[in-house]
Amino acid sequence: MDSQLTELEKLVHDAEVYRHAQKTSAVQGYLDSHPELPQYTRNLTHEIKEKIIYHLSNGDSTKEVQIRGEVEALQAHIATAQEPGNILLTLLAEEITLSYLMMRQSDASHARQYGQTSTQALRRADTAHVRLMRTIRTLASIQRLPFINVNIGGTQQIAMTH
Amino acid sequence: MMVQKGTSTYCYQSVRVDGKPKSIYLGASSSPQAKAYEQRKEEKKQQRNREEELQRLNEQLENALKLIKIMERGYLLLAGYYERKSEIRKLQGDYCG
Repeated sequence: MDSQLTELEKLVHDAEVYRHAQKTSAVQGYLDSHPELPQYTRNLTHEIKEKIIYHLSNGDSTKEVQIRGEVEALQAHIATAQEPGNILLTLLAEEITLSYLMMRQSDASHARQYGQTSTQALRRADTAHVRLMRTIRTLASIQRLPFINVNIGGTQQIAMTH
Repeated sequence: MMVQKGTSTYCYQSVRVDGKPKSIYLGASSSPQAKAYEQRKEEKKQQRNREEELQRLNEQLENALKLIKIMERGYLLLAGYYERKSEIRKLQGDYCG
C-alpha cells in the first residue's frame, strides 16, 4: 500500500503543479484502476477510530459510550451537510472525525501525564487542533463550490449542487 | 536491580553520584524499600509500554490521515479544483481529462 500511496501522491502532485489534461487524466486513470482504495481507506479509518476510542476510554465502558456518543453526534452533524455517495465529502468527514479524536487523545494524554507532558506531546496537541480547524474550513469551502458533477468511474461520482 | 545470592534475593538501586554510577543497597526482596522499588519499576515499565503503544497508534493515525488527504486532493482535481495555501482554486483552461 505504501508504494501505491507514493505513486498516487506523485500523480496528484504533478497534476496540481502542471495543471493540464494529461496529468489530471493520469490521476483519474489511477483512481479508476484502483476501485478498492475508498473501501480500504474506510476500513483503515474505522480500525484506527476504534483503537483511539479504546485508548481514550482506558477500559471504562461508561467513558467509551460517552466518546462514541460524541463521535456519533459529530458525524451526524457533518452528514447533514453532505450528499450521500459523495466521496470527496465522505473523505473530509472521515478526516474531521479522525482529527477530532486525535485532539481528544492529546487532551487525555496531557491529563494523564499532568506536569510531565513532553514538548513533542504539546506539539502534537497543537497539530491536532490546527488540523481539525483546517479540515472544517476546507469542508466549508468545498460546500460553497458551484455545481460539479464528475464521473470518476464505476459507481462513484463527485456531485455538488449549490 | 534484583540480585540473586544463594537462595536469597537482594535489591539495589543504581544512582549516579558526582557522575559515577553507584549501587545503593535497599534490602532483601521482602523489605518495604525493595517492594516500593519494585512497584516504581513496574509502574515505569507500564508507562513506557503505554507510551510505545500510543506512539504506534499515532503513526497509524498519521498514515491514515495522509492517505485521506492524498485521495481528497485527487478527487478534488477530478472535480476541476485544487488546493493551494489552504484555498480551493479552480483549474483553469484545458484541464479536464
